[in-house]
Amino acid sequence: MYGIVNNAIEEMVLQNFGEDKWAEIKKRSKVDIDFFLSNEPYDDAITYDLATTAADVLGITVSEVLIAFGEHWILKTGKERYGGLLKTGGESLRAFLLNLPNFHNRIMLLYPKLTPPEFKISNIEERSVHVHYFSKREGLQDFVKGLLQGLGKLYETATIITLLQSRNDGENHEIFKVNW
Amino acid sequence: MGDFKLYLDTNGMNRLFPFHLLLNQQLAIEQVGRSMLKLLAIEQNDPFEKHFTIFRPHMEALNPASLHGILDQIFILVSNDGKQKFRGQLEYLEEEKKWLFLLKIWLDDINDLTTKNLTFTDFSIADPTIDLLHLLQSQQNVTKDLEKLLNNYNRQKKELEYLSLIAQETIQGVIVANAEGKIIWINKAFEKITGYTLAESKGKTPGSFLQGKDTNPETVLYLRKQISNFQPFDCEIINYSKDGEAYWVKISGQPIYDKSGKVVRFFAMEENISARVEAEQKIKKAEERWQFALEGSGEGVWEYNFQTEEVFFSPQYKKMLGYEDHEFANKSAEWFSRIHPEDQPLLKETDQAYEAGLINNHEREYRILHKNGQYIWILDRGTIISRTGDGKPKILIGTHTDITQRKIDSIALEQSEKKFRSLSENIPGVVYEYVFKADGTQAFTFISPSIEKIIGLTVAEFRQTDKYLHPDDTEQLLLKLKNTRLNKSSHFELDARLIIPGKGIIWHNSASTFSYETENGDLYYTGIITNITEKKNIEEKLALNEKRYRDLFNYSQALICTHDLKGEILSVNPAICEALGYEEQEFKGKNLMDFLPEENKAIFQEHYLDIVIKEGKAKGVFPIVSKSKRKLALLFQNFKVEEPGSDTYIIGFSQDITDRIKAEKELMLAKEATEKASKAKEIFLANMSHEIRTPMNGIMGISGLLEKTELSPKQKKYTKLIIESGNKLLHIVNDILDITKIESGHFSLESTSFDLADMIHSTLQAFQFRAEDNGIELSFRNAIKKDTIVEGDPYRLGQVLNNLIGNAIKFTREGSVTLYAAQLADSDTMPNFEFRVTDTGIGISEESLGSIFDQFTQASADITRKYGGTGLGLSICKSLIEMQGGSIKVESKLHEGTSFIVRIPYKLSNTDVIKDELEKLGDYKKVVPKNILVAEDVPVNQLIARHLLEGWGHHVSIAENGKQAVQLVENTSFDLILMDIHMPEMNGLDATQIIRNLPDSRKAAIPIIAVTAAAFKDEIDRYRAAGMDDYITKPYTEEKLFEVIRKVLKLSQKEPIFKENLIEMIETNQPEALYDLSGLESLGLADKDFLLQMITLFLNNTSADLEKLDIAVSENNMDSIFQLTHRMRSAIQSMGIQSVAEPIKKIEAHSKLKQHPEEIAALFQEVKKNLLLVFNQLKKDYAL
Repeated sequence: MYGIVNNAIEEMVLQNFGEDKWAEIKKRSKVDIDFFLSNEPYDDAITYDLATTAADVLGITVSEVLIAFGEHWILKTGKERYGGLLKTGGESLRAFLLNLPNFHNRIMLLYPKLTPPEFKISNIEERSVHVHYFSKREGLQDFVKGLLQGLGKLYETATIITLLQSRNDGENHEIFKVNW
Repeated sequence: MGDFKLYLDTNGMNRLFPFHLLLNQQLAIEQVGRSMLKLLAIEQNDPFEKHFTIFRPHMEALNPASLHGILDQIFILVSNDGKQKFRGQLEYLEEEKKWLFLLKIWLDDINDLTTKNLTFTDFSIADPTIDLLHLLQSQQNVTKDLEKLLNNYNRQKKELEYLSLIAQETIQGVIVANAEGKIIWINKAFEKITGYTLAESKGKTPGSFLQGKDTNPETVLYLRKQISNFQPFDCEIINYSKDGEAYWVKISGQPIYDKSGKVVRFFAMEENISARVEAEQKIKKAEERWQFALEGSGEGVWEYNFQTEEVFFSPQYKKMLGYEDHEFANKSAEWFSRIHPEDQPLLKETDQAYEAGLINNHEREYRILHKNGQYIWILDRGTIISRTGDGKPKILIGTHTDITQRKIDSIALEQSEKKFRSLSENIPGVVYEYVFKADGTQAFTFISPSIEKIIGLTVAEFRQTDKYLHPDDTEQLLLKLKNTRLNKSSHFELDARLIIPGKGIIWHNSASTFSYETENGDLYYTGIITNITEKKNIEEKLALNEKRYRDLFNYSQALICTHDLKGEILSVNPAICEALGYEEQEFKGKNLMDFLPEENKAIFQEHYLDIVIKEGKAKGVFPIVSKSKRKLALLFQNFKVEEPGSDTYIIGFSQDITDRIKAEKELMLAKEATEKASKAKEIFLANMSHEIRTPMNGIMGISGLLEKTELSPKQKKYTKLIIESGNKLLHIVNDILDITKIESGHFSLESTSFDLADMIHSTLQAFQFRAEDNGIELSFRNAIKKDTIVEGDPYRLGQVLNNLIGNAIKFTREGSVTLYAAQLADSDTMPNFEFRVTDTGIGISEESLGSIFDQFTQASADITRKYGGTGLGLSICKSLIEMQGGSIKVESKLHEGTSFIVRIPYKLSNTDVIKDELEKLGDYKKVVPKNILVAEDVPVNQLIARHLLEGWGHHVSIAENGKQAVQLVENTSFDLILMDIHMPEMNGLDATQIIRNLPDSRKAAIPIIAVTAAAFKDEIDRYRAAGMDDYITKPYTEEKLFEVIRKVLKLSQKEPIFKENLIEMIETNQPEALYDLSGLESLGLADKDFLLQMITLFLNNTSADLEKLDIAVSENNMDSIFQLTHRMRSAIQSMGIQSVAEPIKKIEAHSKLKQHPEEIAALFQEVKKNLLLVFNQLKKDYAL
């Protein structure tokens, strides 16, 4: 993962739980890197380690950490780090989701060291779509769920996100149904 | 590759070049890309120059020729509003002769996308603009990261420099060693303390060049151990500087770890503490010397640390308290627990004073527990020797000295002084010493200070006795002094007065005896002076009292004497002498008994002397014989007097009541005569009642029967007059009886549960016909809740209401009489009920209102003439109401009407009681005929009873007297007996008692109703006591007889006919009755089955007629309307449907004359609406 992801985790913890908690997470996670460079790739294990330790220190589940982090990514990191770029994804939540595969395919080229997931959209209705999430990484479904929730908030649209299928159940990818 | 032509339609163009422009030869815009249109409002055929300027390359003029010149160049277009910038190239389409601008929007910043409201679908997929912007943004992010990193770096660098400076410049020596303990850095202070430079120290272990001969090996060992175990260390040690000088140093240090937890460095700080250690050692030595000195003096030494609460006690100290050194812990709490509980607060107080900075030293005495279990007194002295940095006490030292013996001595001395002081101050006298000197002078040598309290003079003042002594006592004093001096063994005693300013005369007694004689012949007397003013005053008072007593004895009108315990007379007063005619001396030596008549002497001892001696007092009447042999009655009250120092005697006080007794006897006789007369009156009244009522029963009963026979109009009128006169006479008799009973106190009230509304209904019922006869509306407005059961006397309430309603009807010629009844909201358990009888009658004048409730009073003489009456009714009402705890008042206006307002409190009773009773009852009319025995000696009364009872279908047997009645009961079976009381041979009471004792239990239980002319309650009580179930007073009406039989046989209560004739207001919002069946009932058709048939018929017929009428009205068929309404009207009238009666009558009238069809239609709607309501109500009420 690029350093920006780990930075975003740090930022989220600092903003919501304070410096002491972050120091404790850093200490307990045994991650010995003081500073993550946004555009440098880091071992995925670091990110997993930070997320699980955060869950442990904050007394919440890893799933909750990832969901919160997903939201934070959209609402804070995306906005602050990429400014208007995020909004070019579409004029509405629906438009954004429909553009999501193209959006990601563009990014793949920009970050050559990135192993980006792939998204597909199906079952397109007026007030819902199915988001298909293909990734080599395990255990980041909740992060995706948080991202989708964050998008709902970005577009000020109340959403219901349902996980229709999962790799945990033997499928080869996740499908989220996003209703708004 | 071959040459090929590309054809793109508009959509294709828009997908690939969403910002393109197509111009014709005139350079007008023919086609615009979709995203271009999002940015600029371009219309077809708008000239190119209207919207754009070619910014680069520079062109002199814009025309097709000039455009041809720049086909291979990059050029930049700017929109004329200056907001949009495009980059692209130009292509000329030969065949179409058109110019194609292939453009891309130029963005300076990623946020331009938001400003221009562009999303990436506005770009061709192949267009990398956004990606470039994204990259740009990423670059900016990296820059931001670097800035942040740089800031961190600078901050940390500064912090490090700051820390280095502190380490370098601090006055404490700092050593940094590597993991092996070899020095790698030292600061300036270390160099200064030790004299070694950094270069000299590097690579060495501190111990290797700093420690020397006086260094404590144990401390060295400790340091080595801590370092080799990577533990922190803290100790004081002697080191040696480069020039060989020893100094004390305090070393503290710890290992420093890297992130993996490995020890990489040791850090230590050294502080030169030589000066402090030296000072401490000096203090210690001084303390040791001081302690030695103190303990040598036998005092215990202690030291206390306020901050740590540590305490030290010297061995000598512990010894003082009986302990060996090891037996006595240096613990402050344990020590404190040895302090006497009473003294503990004192210690706490001192501690607080130290803490508050109020004192620097102390000296106090208190008790502390010795090992032997005894408290010893110690003198505790202490002082502060050091304070904390902020000035608080730190070390307190002091000594304890055993002062027990001194304390015991001092307490003993104090107590002895106290005792003496207390004695001289508190004895009720003044101790003094007086000297008669050999040279002839004399004076007080000592006067105790209590003189001031006791006499009111100071010692100095009293020495000048002459000044205060009463002049009359001076001579006596001088004489006594002279005698005492002359005879030294004599006792001096004097009672004399002193005149004290502000206090008046004070009597004092001075008494002294010879005490001793000095060598030079001075004689000393010691004595006591006491204040005897009070005693003297009492003596004076006693003398006065004695005189008063004498005067009383001598001049009293009461006969006073004293005698001894045998009755022997000791003294008599003149009043006795006068009353008995003896001289005083004639009583001397006589016994009291001697003056009693002979016949009383025998009981004197037992009835008087023994009692007064034993009980201390006696009272009664003595018969006494005077000197002139006249018998007197003396009312006496004698007392035994026991006084110390004298014989017990009896003092007697008597009064001659001979005349009073005589008068009382006369009065008693008069009273007896009056009571006899009163009883005679009562018996007369009872008899009169009986004697009048018995024939009245005949008159009323026979008149009633007569009225039912075929009579000519004249006979009917006369019969009616007989009945009316009879009723009036009965009324008068009842009124007189009531008044008599009330006055004689024989009147008593019943207490029974009854339904208040029911009771009022049945009362009103009796007046309904009379009101109708007089053309007056009688109505009842009831606000008492349904089923309100109260406890009280229903008959007397009925009597009151009867009287008031009767009066109201009597005095009302037209209009109405209304009875209002309501429960007042004043109490839940004992509420007041208000009954208001209001009429629109003649009214009462203001002057008559005041006396309306007086006996034998009517509003005017006219009234008596015109309306009759005894004038007792309202007086009786008032008495009856007040006896029930109620009140009555009247409001009236002459010629307008009168209201009587009665309030009576009733206790609320259990509703269920009466309900249950009611539920048990059946319908009288359906009762099987009963066998009834009438025991009655008067033939007329026999006739009445038989006629009435047989009239109701019963079988009647007659007994002429009680004896016959008993025989008939024994031989026949009866359901009920009507038993007259006064009968020849055997009266009704005796007969009842015999029947009740019959062996056949069924016969013994036959219900018996007493028939009596007596109306006194005590008589009624006698009947009940004899076993009678109820009673009826003669003369009785058919209704009353029916009622009492119904009650005794527990038959059904007659439905109150009255109910439907009145407006009911049980609840204020109860709707008005929609129909009224009293018409049917007045025809004697109140039978329920019959009613049901009638109602069913009415419902069927009338609803059918109503439908027909509806059609007839709509068709305006006047004949049909007339026939239908005519038929309906009679049915409606008989059902008492007031709301419809008038409209239907009008319809009938109009239709007969075939006129007013509109009014008929309107009236019909009203009729229809109201009839439907009635139908519903009837169905609901009769469950149809």
